[in-house]
Amino acid sequence: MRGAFLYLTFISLLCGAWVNSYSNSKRDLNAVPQETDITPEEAFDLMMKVLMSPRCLNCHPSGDRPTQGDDLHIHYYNVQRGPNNRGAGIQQCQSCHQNSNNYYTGVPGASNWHLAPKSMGWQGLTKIEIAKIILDQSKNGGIGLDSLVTHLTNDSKVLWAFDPGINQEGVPRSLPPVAKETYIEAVKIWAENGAPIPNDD
Amino acid sequence: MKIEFTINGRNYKLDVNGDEPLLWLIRDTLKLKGTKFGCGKAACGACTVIIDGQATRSCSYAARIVNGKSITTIEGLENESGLHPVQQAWINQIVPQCGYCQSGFIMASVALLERFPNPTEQQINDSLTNFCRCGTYPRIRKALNEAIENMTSKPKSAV
Amino acid sequence: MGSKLKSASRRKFLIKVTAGTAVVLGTAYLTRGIWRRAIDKVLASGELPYYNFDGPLVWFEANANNEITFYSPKVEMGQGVLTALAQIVADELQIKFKQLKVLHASSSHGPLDLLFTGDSSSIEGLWKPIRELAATFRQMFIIEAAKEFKTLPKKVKLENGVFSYKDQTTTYGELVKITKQWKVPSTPDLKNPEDYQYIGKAIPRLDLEDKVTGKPIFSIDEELDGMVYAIVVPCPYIKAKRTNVDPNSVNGLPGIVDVIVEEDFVAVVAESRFQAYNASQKLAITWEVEEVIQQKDIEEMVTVGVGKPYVIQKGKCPKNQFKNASEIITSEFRTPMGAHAQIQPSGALANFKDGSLEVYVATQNVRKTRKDIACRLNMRKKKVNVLPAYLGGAFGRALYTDLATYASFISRQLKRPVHCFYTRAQEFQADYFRPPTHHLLKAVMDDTGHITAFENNCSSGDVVKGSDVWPEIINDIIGADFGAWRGALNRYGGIQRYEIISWRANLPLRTSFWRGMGLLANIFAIESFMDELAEKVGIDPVTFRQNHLNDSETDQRLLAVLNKVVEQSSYTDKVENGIAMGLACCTDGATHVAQVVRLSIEAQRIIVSDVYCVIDTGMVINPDQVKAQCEGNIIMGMSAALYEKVEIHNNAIGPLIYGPYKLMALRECPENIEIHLMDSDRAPQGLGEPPMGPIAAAIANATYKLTGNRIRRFPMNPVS
Repeated sequence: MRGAFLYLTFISLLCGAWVNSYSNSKRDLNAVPQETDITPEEAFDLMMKVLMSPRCLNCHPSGDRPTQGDDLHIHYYNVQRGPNNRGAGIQQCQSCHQNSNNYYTGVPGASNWHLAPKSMGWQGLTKIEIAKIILDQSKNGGIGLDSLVTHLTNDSKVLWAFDPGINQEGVPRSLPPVAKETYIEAVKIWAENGAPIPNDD
Repeated sequence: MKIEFTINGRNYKLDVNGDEPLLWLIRDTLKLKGTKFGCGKAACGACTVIIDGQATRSCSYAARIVNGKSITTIEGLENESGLHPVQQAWINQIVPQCGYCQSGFIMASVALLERFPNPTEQQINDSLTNFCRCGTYPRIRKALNEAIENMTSKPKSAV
Repeated sequence: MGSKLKSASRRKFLIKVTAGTAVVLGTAYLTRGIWRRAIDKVLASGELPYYNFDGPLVWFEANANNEITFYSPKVEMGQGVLTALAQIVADELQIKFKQLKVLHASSSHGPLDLLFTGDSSSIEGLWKPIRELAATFRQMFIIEAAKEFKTLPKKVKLENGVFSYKDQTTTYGELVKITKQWKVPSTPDLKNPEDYQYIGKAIPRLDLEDKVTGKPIFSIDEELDGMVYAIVVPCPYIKAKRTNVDPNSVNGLPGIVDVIVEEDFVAVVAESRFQAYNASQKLAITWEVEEVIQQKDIEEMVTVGVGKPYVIQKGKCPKNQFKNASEIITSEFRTPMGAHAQIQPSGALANFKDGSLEVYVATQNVRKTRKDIACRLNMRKKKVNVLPAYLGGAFGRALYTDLATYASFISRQLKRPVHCFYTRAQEFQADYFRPPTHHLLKAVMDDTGHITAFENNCSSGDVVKGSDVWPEIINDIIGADFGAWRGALNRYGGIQRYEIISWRANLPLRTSFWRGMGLLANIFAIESFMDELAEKVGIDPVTFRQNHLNDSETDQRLLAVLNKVVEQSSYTDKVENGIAMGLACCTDGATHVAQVVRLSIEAQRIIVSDVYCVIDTGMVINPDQVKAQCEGNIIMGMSAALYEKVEIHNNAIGPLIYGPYKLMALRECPENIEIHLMDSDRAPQGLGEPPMGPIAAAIANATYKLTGNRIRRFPMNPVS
């Protein structure tokens, strides 16, 4: 910086870019190319790209604290898993998270907002390890493949990842790297083909 | 949009912007000033109210979901027999300094004791995540313990 | 009645009477003690020239309902000052405590407090004038009671607000009703300390019930009919200016009343706060950064050797000792910028009507608030009435009331009451931060482990300079920034050769008063260094400190608090089961504090379980509230030392929200905080900040014993 007087112009981030995205929060999903002829292996990869995005991992922690942000930092404010995956003491998820995103505070929300059980902790796992546990009925809450597909393609919390609102600073949260329709399609293709898990190597 | 809800036992019907935070309905529309604005991001807890038994940060609670809810604010704690035992304990232990955060702490404490009449130290620490800049935490802890003792040893019916 | 007055006769009293209804007595006071502290040991004389000021006043009023009202020139920001003043007044008036009401004086009550509420100065400064005023007021009533009883004033007894002689009795209220002509006597003797009924007692705070029932006592709670909400958008960058605003960007949004674009501020005004907020988010403003600045640039600016040095204190010359030393021990420390982070954001409600302004505001400085508004609006000060409200935390932040000025301006323009508060992010952006600091300390020691030469360099952004909070004369006399070097002076009388140097860093952002000013950073550096030196010569930290205190009264008082805290805490240098203790002490003004902490390290975090604090703050008005102030200081100091920092990235200030800007929470608060107050018959000394001093060093000193790493920075990291 010394000596050199650089004249830069910053357009203030307060100027409303994401407030616009609030009023137009329905994204134009038709613009996403439809991928119908993908292989189960490709479908698996597409699905796992979503599941391993910060939007999903933050509420699938392997420990007892949810995380936040694209850097998966520990959730501020001492948020704990608690006995029912819904918070500890009276600091429940619902103390702050309601059934929809809050565009005034940047607090995200979807109905029944809570943490995945510890057995469904994905952080630090590979996509193959994650795939194994989501199919493992001893860990996934005893649900079969059909119910799993329903969860992955219909659950409000899962689909929240594609409409994740703004963060505390008012910046839109990043989206999973795969479009919603593509993801749903991929889950279905993967399941219809027997939910194959690629070899570890 | 039109919403109908209860605050401190009183029924209200309002026509509101569904995105407006409950906090501003409580403070600016209904003129109940005891619930405070601290951060507007559900981070500090100064705006804590109790909604259907759950301690909730009212700044991050949109008006549209208030419909049908029953809300208690600091103004609703007193009854004909006087202050709530949590408020009385706060007085006995001389908790407040500036006092701005205390409504939120008191509401969170009331919600805590309603759900866990005899909370563990861990439950207290996990529940009271509000911030106080004056540093009244040691007294909040003492007052909470006094309230626990008074509320568990003297059930309401026996008073 | 006992204590003889030396200078009371010089005091002037002012009386206002509404016959049969009320009588009011007021007086001026000048808190020269505070100024003297600022130049303590700097100017040999210790005397300042009188400063031309507009006569700060304190007032009492007694009415026919037997109520006595005290208008406090000091504001209640949590420190309990209204309660403490009430105790002093009630004692000297010899009334029932409940008979007394204490209200904030608004600026229309007369000339204002020359200083401000802060710097731990309220009780220290008011202690004498307020008792003199009360005693004089009391004597006025005794004289009238004597007339009524047909006896001599000295025969009239006064207890719990009842005047009596033989079987006759009367009250303050009765005397107000019947007295036509009041006589203001010369000030009588003040009450003997042995006779105090309220002073020294743990009387519950006057504002307790209001604060636990959510009464609307804060400025943000004020409302007026027809009020609109304004949001002022502060510049989010440092070293930047606004180049464009497009008011059309909020056209058509619901509730918009106006967009105000002035040289010094931009505001959107709407019918509801939510509407104003939404519009402020959409308002298109262009900011131009004049020079890119990063955090490392700030640190470079705040470095000993950069900027202008001022020698602020000098003992015998240490130069030869440094020149001839076989070893000079040097040590460096840094502290970051800190935010006030008080829970109520800054703001005001202003109402311009018929050429006059009423402003409801959280302010620590009624005089400056009024002056700023009058200047900006080009109004006569008389036409601006500033009504101070209870403060939702302040800690120095409320010495600045920019929004009161802007709200006033907008109110005049729109002819409506204007409610204007910052959002939390804006509050961080518009803060006047605790300045970042850098400390370089040097010492030479002899064979016996005594410090034979000592040098303390502290570099800091401004605190007092340019603040317009303190009479500039202070800076003119001292040269350096008193606030920046507060705590940096050598207060160990046993160190004879020393030089203390303050380096003024010129920063591109606003830094100013934060509770204790430089105290937290400077004592952190000095008291960490003392432990380092003690270790170097193999002497335990307690003995090492004791060895450097001499026979002077002030050193002996510090020694006493040091010895007491060692006893109270069973201080030991031994580490047992991963638990260590650390100690530090300081003298601030004429208040002495020593603290010991007990801590462990879990998951790379410092966990403080116990804090022991011994304080000698002179005579104590309310022991419970003195303890509350100690607790608050310890917790705020710990929070700053362990968790807090404000940084600059690409000119943007951050973080802008609690969480990322971490404050201590209940679960992190030490389980055990024990405060011990030393008995003293000295006049009351400052206490709202001094206990902030030792805590950081005590933690660093204990942590060192566990890790072998010397902590040199905030936020403290035990492992690096």
